[in-house]
Amino acid sequence: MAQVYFRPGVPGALPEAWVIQPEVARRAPPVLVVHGLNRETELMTRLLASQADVTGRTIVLPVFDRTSWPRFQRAAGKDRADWALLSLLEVLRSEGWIGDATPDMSGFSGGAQFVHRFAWLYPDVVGRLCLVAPGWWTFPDMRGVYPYAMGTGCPNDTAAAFRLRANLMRFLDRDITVMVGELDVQQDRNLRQDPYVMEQQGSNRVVRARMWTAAALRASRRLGLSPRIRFELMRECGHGFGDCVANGALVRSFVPFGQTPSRLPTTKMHLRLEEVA
Amino acid sequence: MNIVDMKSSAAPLVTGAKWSFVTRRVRRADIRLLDRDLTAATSGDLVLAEVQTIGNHKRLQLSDGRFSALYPKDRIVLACADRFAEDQYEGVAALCPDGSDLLAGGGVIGEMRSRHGKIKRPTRLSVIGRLANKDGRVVNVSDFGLPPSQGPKPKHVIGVLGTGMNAGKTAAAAGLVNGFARFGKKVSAIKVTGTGSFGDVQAYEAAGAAQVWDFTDAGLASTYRQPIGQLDSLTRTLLAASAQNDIAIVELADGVSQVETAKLLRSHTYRALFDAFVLAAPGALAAKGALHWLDSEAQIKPIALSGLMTQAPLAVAEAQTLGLPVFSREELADPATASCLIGLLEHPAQASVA
Repeated sequence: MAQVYFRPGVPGALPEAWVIQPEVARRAPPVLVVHGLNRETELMTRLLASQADVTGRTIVLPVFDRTSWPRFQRAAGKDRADWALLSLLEVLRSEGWIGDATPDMSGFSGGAQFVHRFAWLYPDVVGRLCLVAPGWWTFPDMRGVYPYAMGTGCPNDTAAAFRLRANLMRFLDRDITVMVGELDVQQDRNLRQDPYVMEQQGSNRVVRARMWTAAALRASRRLGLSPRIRFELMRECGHGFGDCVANGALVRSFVPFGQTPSRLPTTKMHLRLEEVA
Repeated sequence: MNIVDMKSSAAPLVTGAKWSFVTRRVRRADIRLLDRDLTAATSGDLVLAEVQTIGNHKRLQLSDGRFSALYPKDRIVLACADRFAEDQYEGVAALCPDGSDLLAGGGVIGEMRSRHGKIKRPTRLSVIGRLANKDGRVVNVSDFGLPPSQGPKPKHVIGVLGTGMNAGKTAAAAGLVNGFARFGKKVSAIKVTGTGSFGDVQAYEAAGAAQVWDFTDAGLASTYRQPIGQLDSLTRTLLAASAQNDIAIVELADGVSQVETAKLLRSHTYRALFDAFVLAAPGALAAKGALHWLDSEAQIKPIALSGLMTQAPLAVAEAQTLGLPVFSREELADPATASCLIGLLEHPAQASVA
């Protein structure tokens, strides 16, 4: 049976973390799982523990506390949650919790916001991504400035924009699974609803996930990649982690087996583009 | 006319002397005799001098990394060398019985040729003699440099160039060092040309470099007027000494058109040591001029701009029209920038996509 450990953090410097160690570890990289704005890491730990045994993978759940990282989901925002996660990875490696293998990364809601931004900033630091029901996204196009897109607006954001543009190919050149519950169409208080985002990204999480997937597929092809981006609508699921685990078989994609799945044929990806666009 | 008894024991005079930064690799136990033949002085010779009058340099950089205030009659150990500094002095490696000049606070003595209009006269020194070993051979800082090597270098090498002195090269180099170190890379920071000074190496250390070298480690107190082959060789030596690091950040002194820097950059075998260059400039027009020079004279296209101009948003806005990203020191020190630059180094084809 998997063992769950709690690794204390340092406020403002190092996030706390739950570490789930499988009873029998396989030679597979760890999975980093990032919580949403509700920071339900204890629930997520409980629901994911058995999957650590199924896959033989170590699962790490960092806790970006509300005081130190109130807007962690922006990754490279004012509170620099990205730096905090880099520090955590270094510490976990030095303490032997995880090895040197490149971890896969999954995020739920605000955690998915963080994960896709983090992976975009540090494409060589993480492997496969599973992005579940983020409220809003950073789009791989020039229709806005970071964190909405990778365009430029004033001298202060050109460095961020350059980083995104320079990393785009490496960011997209990986397995990315985008998931959202088919009932996740409520405009709840955690869903960003300012007019700009409503117009750019759509009115709810389902629409936004479809639009981002389509944009990512378009950007991948523009860059000459054969996209490995998959969109999955979870039947009978709303916006709750427990709900998605119980009804949507979220866990299989959230903490997948360690081996890299075979590359999806391009023709199928064309169909998927039609499906999501 | 040869004076037979030119050499006398150095011990009584060297005792209590202040040893300057550029002499830090010298094995002091080797110092036995004093050679009073100043006419034979060459670059790198170890010199014992006494402070006559305090001028521009009021402090000496000591070999242990501290400053020491200078007082008249202080005895100090220096290296005779040339100096090239647009906003201070130009000087040559020569010693005069009537007195010589403290050309650089890192411990360079020589003869001033010209000075910047806003700079005071140099601190004036009486030359007691050159320091020699037990055989009477004058000790030179090159005796203690790393042995020449053409060994392997770090996986990545980024050069930091500038439009001139005080363009912000060291700040940019330190920013890169910090960014890569925080990104989890082992970084070596190297200053390959210039005049010996602990300011640069201390800035690199403070930024988190795992290893720090400068040309004094290769046995030169100053690189001005030194043979280009020697500067090429010392760069290879210091890169080889950095081989166990993931990346080397290499700063070249002064502007790209400075005589030695220009010759190095024009050499394609020298340029081949580098994977990329960052250009530091105090303003957009200076950056434009340097980019033109680099393109036409050395076929170099830097991957980014930085430097003093990044303190001024208006200058940044103007520099951004030059088609390169402009990074402040703080942005270079961001591991997200390091992540991006590593990607460009390893996948250069993506630079055009960006």
